Amino acid sequence: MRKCIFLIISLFLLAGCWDQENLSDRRLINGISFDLSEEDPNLIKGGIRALNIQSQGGGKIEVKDELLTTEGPTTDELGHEIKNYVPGRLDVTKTFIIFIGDELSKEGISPLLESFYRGNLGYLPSKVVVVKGKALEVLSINNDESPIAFRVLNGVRSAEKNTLLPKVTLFTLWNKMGDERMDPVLPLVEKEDDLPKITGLALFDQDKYTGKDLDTKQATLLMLMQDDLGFTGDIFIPYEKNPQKTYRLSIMGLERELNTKVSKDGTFTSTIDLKIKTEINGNPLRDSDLKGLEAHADEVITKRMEEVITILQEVHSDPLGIGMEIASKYPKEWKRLDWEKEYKEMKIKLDVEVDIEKTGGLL
Amino acid sequence: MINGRLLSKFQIYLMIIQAQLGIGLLSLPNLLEKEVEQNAWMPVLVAGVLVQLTLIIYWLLIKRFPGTSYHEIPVLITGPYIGKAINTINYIGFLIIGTYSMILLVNLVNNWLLPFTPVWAIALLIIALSMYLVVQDYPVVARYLVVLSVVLIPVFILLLLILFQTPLEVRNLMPVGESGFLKVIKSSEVDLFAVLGFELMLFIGPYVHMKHSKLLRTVSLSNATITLIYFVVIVLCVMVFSADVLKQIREPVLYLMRSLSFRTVDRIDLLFVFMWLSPMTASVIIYLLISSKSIANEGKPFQRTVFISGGIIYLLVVSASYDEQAFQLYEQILKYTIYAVVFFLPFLLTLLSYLLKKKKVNA
Repeated sequence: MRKCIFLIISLFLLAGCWDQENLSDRRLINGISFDLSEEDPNLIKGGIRALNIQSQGGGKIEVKDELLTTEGPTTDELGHEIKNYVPGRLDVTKTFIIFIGDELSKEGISPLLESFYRGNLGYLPSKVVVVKGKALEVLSINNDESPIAFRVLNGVRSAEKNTLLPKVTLFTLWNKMGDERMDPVLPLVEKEDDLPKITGLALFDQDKYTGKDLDTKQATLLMLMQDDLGFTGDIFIPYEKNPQKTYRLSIMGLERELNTKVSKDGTFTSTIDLKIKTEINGNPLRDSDLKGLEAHADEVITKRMEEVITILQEVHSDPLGIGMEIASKYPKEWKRLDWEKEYKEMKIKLDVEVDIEKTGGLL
Repeated sequence: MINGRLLSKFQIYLMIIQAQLGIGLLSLPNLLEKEVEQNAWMPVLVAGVLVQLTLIIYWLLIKRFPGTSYHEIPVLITGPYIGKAINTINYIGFLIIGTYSMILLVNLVNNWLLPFTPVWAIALLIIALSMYLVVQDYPVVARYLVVLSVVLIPVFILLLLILFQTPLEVRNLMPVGESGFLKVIKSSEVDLFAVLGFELMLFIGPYVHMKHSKLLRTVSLSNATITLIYFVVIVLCVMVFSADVLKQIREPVLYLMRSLSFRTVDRIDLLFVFMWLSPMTASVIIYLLISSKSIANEGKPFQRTVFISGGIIYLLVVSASYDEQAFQLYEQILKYTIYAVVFFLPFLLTLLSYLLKKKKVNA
C-alpha cells in the first residue's frame, strides 16, 4: 500500500518536462533564400517559406505556406530579425532546401551556411541550390499544388536519379567546400515562365561560385567522369550522316579509372579511362551499323568531355578531385605545388570506350 | 562465495566492453585528427597493444591473490598502514575519473537532447540510477550491463548504414604513415584515455571462479573487440569528413549520424545519443562501483560508501557544470590521476608482490 502511494505521488513529480514543445507553437520553415541586398551590398536579403499550422478543432488542421523577407548582415541576424514577423518559434529542423542567389554565392557561401552546421537544429541532409538571378524570385513563386520548396526539392531528387545532378547535400558540400584538394558543384535553378527549372550545374572554386555553369547534358558527362552514376542516365548523340537527328544511349554500367602521373620535370598528367556500357533505346533513323555507332559515340563523347574539362580548368574548379589524387599519391610534390597555376596548365587525357550491349526490343 | 554470485565469462566480457565504451569515442576522431591527421587510426592500434600489456600486468597481480578483492591486495603486500593509504588514493582517483566522465555525459545530454532541462535534474536522474544499481553489488550490475548490451546491435546497424549511405573518400586515408612514428605513439595517449574502464578487471577477483588463463583470454577478447570498434569508427570518420571539417567538430561520430536521412526517420544523431546513453552511464556506474569497492568490501559498509560517493559525485558534477574553472581544474588533475591510479599503482603492487614474494596461500 505504501509503495502504491509512493508510486502515485512520484507520477506527479515525473510528469514535468522542460524540453517539451508543441507543434502548433512552431513555424516549420521549408525553404530559405539568400540574396545580396539591392540597397546595401554589405547586407544579405533573406527569405523564408514557413508553414503556419493551425488547428481548426475536430482533428482538422489548416496549413498555410507564408513568405517572409528581411535584411541583415549575417544568417543569424536574419533569423533573429525574421522572428519579429511571426508568432511562434521558427524551426529550421525541416528546412529541406536552401536557395542562394548567384551574386551572393560569388562572394562565398561558407559564412552563410556556418550556423546550420554549428547549431544542433540544422538539417544536414537538406539540398543547396544556386539560383541564376534572384533566389527570392524562385522562392516567391506561388504554386497551388505544393509549397514551392517541395516542388524544387522533388525536381532535384529526380534529376539526381537521372544522372543530371550529383547528390549534394548540406553535409557533403561541407566536406568539399573547405578542402582545397577538391571543389564542389551545386545544382543551378532558374525561374522560367513562373516555374522553377533546373538548368545545370554551378561550378565552384572552394566556396565561391565561379560564374561558369555546365548545362544538364554536360553535367551528365561530368558525373560519368566522376564515376557517379545515378539510377538511370541518357546520352544523346547526333548521327554522323545527319547531325540534326540524335540517337539515345541509356547507360547501364560504368567503369572509370583516374590515374595521375608526374613526369621528371614536375608536370602532372591525368588520364581518365572510361568504359561505358549502354543500351540503344532510340534509333529514329534505324542505323543498323552498331560498330559504327559505337565508334562515333566514342568520338562525340570524348570531344564533349574535353570541352567540359576545358571549362573546369579555365575557372579552376576541380570536382573530379584530381588535386586529391595528387595530394594522396605525391604528398611531397603537393606541398610545394602552386595548385592554382598547375591545375590550369596540366594535361587531362581522356580515353572513352562505349559499348552498345543491348538494342531494346528491336534488332 | 555463494555460487549464484559468480560472474560468467560472457558477463565479464560484456562488462569490460561496456566499461571501456563510452563518451570518449564520440570526440576521439576529432582529437586524433588534430594530432596525426589522416593516420588517426594508428594510435588506436598502439593504444590497443598498450591496454593489452596493462591487462597482462593486472592479470599477473590478481593471479597471485585468487579470490581477493583489489582493496585487500595492498594491505597484504605493504602492510595495513601503507595499504590503507593506497586504497584511499585509489578511491579518490576512481571517483575523479567517474566524476569527469559524468560531467562529459551530462554536458552531452544537455547539448544534444535536453537543452532546456537544468543540469541538476539530468545529473540527479543519472546518479540516482547508478546508486540504485551499484548498491546491489556486482552480480546485479553485471546482469544489467548484459541486458544493456542489446543497444550495441542498433549501433552496429547504424555504422553499416553509414558505410553504404554516405559517400566515402578512401583517398582521405592517404598518404599512410606520413606523421612519423613518435607522434603516433604520443597521440595514442588520447585514445588510451578514451578506452579507460579496463581497471574493472582488478576488482572482479572475488567474483570469478575459472582458470586464470581463461580469465586473461576473456578480457583480451573484450580489449580486441573494443579496439576493433574504435578502429572502424575512426576510419569511417576520416573517410567521410575532410580533414578541415574533422578538425572543427567536437563530436564527429554524432555528425556522422546526423548526415543520415530516411523516409521515416530523421535526425538519427539524436536517436544515437539516446542509445549511446547506456554505455556512457555504464562508465559512471562502473566507476562508482570500483571506487566504492576500493575502500569497502561488502554488505552495509559498502552500501553506505556507495551512497556517500554518489552524493560526492553529484555535488562535484553540478558544481563543475555551473563553473567553467572547476571543469578545467578537473581536466588538469585527470591526467595525473589516470597515470597514478590506472597504471602506476597496479604496476608497483605487481612488482612488489613478486619482489617480496607475497601471495595468497590457499587455506
